[in-house]
Amino acid sequence: MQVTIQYSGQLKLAVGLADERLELPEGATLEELVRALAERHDNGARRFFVDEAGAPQPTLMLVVNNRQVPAGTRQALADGDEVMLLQPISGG
Amino acid sequence: MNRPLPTLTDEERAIYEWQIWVRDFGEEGQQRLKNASVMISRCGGLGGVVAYELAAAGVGKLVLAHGGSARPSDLNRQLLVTYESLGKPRIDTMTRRLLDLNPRLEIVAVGENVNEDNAARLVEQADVIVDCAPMFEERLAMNRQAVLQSKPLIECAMFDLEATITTVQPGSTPCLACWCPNVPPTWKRQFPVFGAVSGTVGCLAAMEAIKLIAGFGQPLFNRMLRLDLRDMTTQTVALARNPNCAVCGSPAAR
Repeated sequence: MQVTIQYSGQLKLAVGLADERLELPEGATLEELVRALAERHDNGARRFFVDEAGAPQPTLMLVVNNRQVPAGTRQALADGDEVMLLQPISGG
Repeated sequence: MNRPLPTLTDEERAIYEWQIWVRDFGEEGQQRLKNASVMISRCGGLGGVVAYELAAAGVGKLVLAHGGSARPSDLNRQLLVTYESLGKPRIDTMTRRLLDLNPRLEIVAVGENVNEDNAARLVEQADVIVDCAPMFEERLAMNRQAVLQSKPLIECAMFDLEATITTVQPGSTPCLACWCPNVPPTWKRQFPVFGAVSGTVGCLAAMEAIKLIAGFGQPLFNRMLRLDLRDMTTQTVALARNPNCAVCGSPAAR
């Protein structure tokens, strides 16, 4: 199956992409996608995706089809899903 | 906001005439604004526009927290800072500029940024909080106090040509810590932004505050509006409360 990933904030600059498409095995979960992206963008952007233990960063907001998925939720992905990774931003 | 509503003077009716015509707002909405107090955490590129719009709209009292002295790099976006004020305390020029626009405005000017020690006192003085700070330590301290004191909190932010905004209603919507429980380890204090981007989201935040105070329209409860001015697209994300949130989650989680 294929999912679309949209990047935002500092994460967009770190990976050098606004969005990309990724082929995943059927039944893949959101957490597995985040781990796969950490491997794919291991050249400097890894810390945006996962913490030192390899779990998704608690501060990375995960959004599937415009619905936020709370941290720690097991969410199976489906073909055509649009996943947005929202890096928290601030003011100033 | 349970105080009796003040009457408007003839001068106020003349100044606010065009917005009193707004459907569902009217003269009572204007009285509610006059009766209200709003606390703004940092009045820079984002919060300065929030403050200016709320001063223009006739909010009665603003509690402003902003430390430090004006620097040249403030001037691309911090519209309350002037060239002549470079090197001087920002809070002084911000206060002066707001009073130039609205001399009826009551201002509590605090020349320091929000921290764990002053957040409770600042939140106590206001009906609505607008969080415009650049540091997540400040934002999380403000969020914690807003939840503890059950005050609505408008969370707004910008980066590059992107902006996000959501409104926290403690007890019924996610709070900031539900989706940002700690300081993001990759966050960098200095980041690219245009003043037109911070100003855009600042105007949206001011409108959220006006709606909350006057009680009309649909605030951004349980949803985050995301804008990308690079391609002029918007997205609305449905937010979810985190039952394990250390700030607003179940008592066992706190």
